[in-house]
This record gives sequence, C-alpha cells and structure tokens, in this order.
Amino acid sequence: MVGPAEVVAASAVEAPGARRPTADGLDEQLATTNTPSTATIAAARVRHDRRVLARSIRPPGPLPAHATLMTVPEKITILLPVDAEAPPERLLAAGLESFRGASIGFVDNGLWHSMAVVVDGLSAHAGAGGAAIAGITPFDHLAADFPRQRAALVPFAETVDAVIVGLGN
Amino acid sequence: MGVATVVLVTEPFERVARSSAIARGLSKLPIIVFPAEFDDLDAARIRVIIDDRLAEIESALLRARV
Repeated sequence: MVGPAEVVAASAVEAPGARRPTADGLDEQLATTNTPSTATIAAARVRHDRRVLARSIRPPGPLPAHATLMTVPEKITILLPVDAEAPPERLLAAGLESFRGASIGFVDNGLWHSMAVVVDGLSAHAGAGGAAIAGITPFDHLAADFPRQRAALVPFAETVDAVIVGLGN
Repeated sequence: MGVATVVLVTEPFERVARSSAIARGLSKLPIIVFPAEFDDLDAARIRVIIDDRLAEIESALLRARV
C-alpha cells in the first residue's frame, strides 16, 4: 500500500519540462528554468511547489460518471435582429398631397415622457393645416416578430392617411 | 399601399432605427433625429424643438415618394 507521503514524493521528482496529466483533465508542463535541482525537488515534497508553465486541454475522454448528459439538437437556430443579406428595397407609401383633409395618427411605444408634448405640437400644426387627428395607438411590442407586429397595427393604419411614430417603432 | 410614415427618434437610437429600416427594405424611410437629451428636457423646451422641426416633419409626410 502506498501512503500519502510516497505519492507526494513521486510527484516531486518529475523531470523539469515533463508533461503530466492532472485529475481535472489538463496537461501541465513543468518549468525547465528557475527550477530547483531534482535533489532539491525531492526535498520539497509539497505539490504546489511545482512551477507550471502552461496548461493545455487534452482531447476529450470519457465523461465523468457525475457529468450531466444534455441532448444536443442536430439543428441550432441562431436568431439575428436583422436579415443576413439586404432585402429588396420596398417602395414607401405615397406621401400626402397636403395636410388638408388628411387623417393623421400617432404610434406611441410609451417610452417617451416627451411624447405628449410632441403629439400636442404636431397635432396643432397638422390641425392648422386642415388635418384631422385620428388618435394615438400604443405600440409596445404587440407581437413577437415583425410580420405580426405589422399585422397588429393594420386596424389603426386603416384609419389614417399618415402616421408619426415615436422612438423608432 | 401603406401609410405615409415618419419616424421620430433620439440620437442614440438613430443607428438602430436606420439599420432596422434598411433590414426591412425601407432605406428611404424618413427618420427625424432629436437630441439625445430630448426626453429629459422640460415641456417648454421640447415644444420649442418640435416647433423648429415642424417643417421637416411635415415635409417627410408630404414629399413625393418612389
């Protein structure tokens, strides 16, 4: 039977520059310079005295018994906020001929404290030009994706000729 | 088809607004940019800024689009 003292002694006499695996799956390369002689190492019988220059990860071996096995799907979908390639340019809706007789709406995502003042100022100006203010519709991520967000705004869009959108909705 | 639209953003959101528009194929979407501190200003100052930009906002909604 080998006792703790012999185990420590065995690790302490390893040659400088040697590589040895560790219990945590790493390789350690022992220092080759500024390293005490083998005789001195033998005298220093504590493991943390070994100077390690580098550690590298070995090829994966069998998982430890306590490792948690997770199912990895064959396909992983990475969602990006924008398309990978520029989509074809879409035509914008035609601009108004004038404010006169137009129905103007506001889309407000509720994040702007200043939006009330903005709406007041723009409504007064549009009203002076003959427009009617259709109202303000909230927009706070009405749906999870763009097509459904757009669809959620359709009922309001059908009531207006032009819309002013706050905070980059 | 669609509704004439102008987007109002503050300066920190300009880039994301333009990027989002481009990503939707709407690179020509009118975007009006206000100062970064716009939302922290008092109502009187906000109103002054809005009044100064009225012509620009109106033009974005009225202009011919192709």
